[in-house]
Amino acid sequence: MPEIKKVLVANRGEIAIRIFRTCRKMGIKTVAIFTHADRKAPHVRYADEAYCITDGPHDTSYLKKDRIIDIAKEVGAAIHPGYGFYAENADFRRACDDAGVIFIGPSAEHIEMMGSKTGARAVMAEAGVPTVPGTKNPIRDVEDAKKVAREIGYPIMLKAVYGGGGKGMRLVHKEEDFESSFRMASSEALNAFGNGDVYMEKFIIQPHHVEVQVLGDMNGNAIHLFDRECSIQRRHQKVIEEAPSPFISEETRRKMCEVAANAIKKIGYYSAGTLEFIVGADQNFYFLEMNTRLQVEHPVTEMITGVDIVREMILVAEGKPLSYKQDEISINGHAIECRIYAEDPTNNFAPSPGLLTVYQTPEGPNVRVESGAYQGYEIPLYYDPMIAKVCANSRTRAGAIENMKRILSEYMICGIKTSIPFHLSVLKNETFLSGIYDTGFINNKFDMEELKRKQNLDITVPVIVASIKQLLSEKMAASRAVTRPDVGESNWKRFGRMINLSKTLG
Amino acid sequence: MAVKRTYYTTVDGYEGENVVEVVENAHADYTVTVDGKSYHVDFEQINETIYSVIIDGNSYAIDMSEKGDKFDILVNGDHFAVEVLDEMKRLMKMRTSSTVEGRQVIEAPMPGYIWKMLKEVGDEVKAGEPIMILVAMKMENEIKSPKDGVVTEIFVKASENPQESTVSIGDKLAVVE
Repeated sequence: MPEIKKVLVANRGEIAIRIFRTCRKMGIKTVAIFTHADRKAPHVRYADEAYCITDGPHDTSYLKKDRIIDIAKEVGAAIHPGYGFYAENADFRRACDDAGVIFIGPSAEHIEMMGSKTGARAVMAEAGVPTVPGTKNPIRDVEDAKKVAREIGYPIMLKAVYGGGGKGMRLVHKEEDFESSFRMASSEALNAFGNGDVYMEKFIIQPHHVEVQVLGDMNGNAIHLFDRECSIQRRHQKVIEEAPSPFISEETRRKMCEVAANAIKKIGYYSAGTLEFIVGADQNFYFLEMNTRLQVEHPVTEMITGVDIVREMILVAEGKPLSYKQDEISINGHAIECRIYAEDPTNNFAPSPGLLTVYQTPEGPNVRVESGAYQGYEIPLYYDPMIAKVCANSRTRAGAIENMKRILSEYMICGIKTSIPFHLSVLKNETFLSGIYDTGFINNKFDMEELKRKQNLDITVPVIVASIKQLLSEKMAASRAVTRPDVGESNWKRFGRMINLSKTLG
Repeated sequence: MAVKRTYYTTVDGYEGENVVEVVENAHADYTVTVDGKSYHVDFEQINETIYSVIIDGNSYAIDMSEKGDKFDILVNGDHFAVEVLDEMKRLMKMRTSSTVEGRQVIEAPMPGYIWKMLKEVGDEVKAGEPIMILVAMKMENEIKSPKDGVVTEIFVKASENPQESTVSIGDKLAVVE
């Protein structure tokens, strides 16, 4: 493999800038691509070269496979896909190979292998990774199924083979309920999906989402960079991540990380990847899926291990060995990441695109910010609402949380609403502070606990501030009414209404 | 000349009402009495939504946005929705019932584009039934009818091309009667 001298990032926003940063550090030239809507996006200016991939403002899509690969070929760049878009797309990877363009990521075979959830589980099970126990095939005989359920242990979950959206699903706590639950799940599945096939899986109580970062090279080396806890999720979207997981024991950590590194070594995986596990309250862990890309939350791992994952990905794509051996990797402190979304947490997290009239990112020690925005930038309607990610670290988890609170308090954004207030309230939440939270926490318990906490808050300050603002607004409205008497409703009408009102109310 | 006002404030999620008396002593200099307790307040606006407020020596950086008589306020990351009414508005509010009646104009709750139209003018709708789908930042948002009735007007056209169906926050979308 030839040396990489230039990298095109087939992505936008904060992740493009994140990858460019490592390139700049390594003395590698950078190439941005952009749509008409993104002409003023910051990644365009950060790069050494920039090419528009759309024909006009009507076209807002970054999914321009042929054009992107043509540009890379022409300018002599390798392609890093970032996350989303063409990351984890085996066809794109193959097209790069065919065009003689280096793709900074895993092989097409591995992307494909992990693309199918059931396929990935089968491969991983064979490589010695524990998967959620259950039947892979539809249940045909209830008595046989009961026997299997007894072996797995209750509670178990019955799931429609062709299902989705919670239909055809039944949680079974004890054997007496098995038959009736099975019949209900099956008929529900038949009605909803036209097929009544149902399989069963062990139900994991209070599941935690813990993932292991892995790196492999083309020379057969594979290492892990320890774990991340991603259990703070809202609508299956990660909101806060931390490394290492505050929940798993040292014993579990050792086992999980070893199993992950061994598995990717066995299947010959190279570049960066993540094995997602579900961990039960009993510390048993089961493989869920593998992400064959750089993940949004990779910085927390970089902060505790000191490894630049993007740099390793570039070296591996050049065919070089990883720069670290497993015994050189250790956990140093604790790191937390908050994803800053352009959405309004006080209005059911509705998207909030718009013009950033004030945009000031936090500064000071123990902070890492990757941002795809700036003051005066108009956040486009067409792309992901994540505008930045903010990380804090410290020697301990409590210290990292304290740092994060300080850091978020300095993040000033006007013109749009962001998820920062939501993050701050999570960071004040007692269950979060305890470190023992599962994936159901935000959806099930957080609002209640938050309500309780807020009821003890003093409302004097907001009441004073709002009242003064109201007085100022009224004064301004009055002065406007004097200078432009034709604006607004007539004072006579208002007077009449007031008279009427005082009559009706006696 | 000192300006003096009396307001009645309510905060979402908190019971009861506060009586607030605001006296403007000079520019940025206020005396505010909340339920009989007085505070000295130094109030400065820094930019569009950020304010620096010093209450009896305690300094606060406050993010505030105003929607009519409602104020969205962030203090140390905690959000408060405060409604501030004078005596007349308070009386009017007590009189108007909160039920949804009559002609309802549906406005865009956020900027985005109308991706799909689900109803036509003349269609009957139930309360909560979606009339169209507004897409913003890759998220689909159902625009629902606030009441049982008939769609009498639709002001927007749906298109999968965002350029052709962009709406701003507060744009009229439809009328249900």
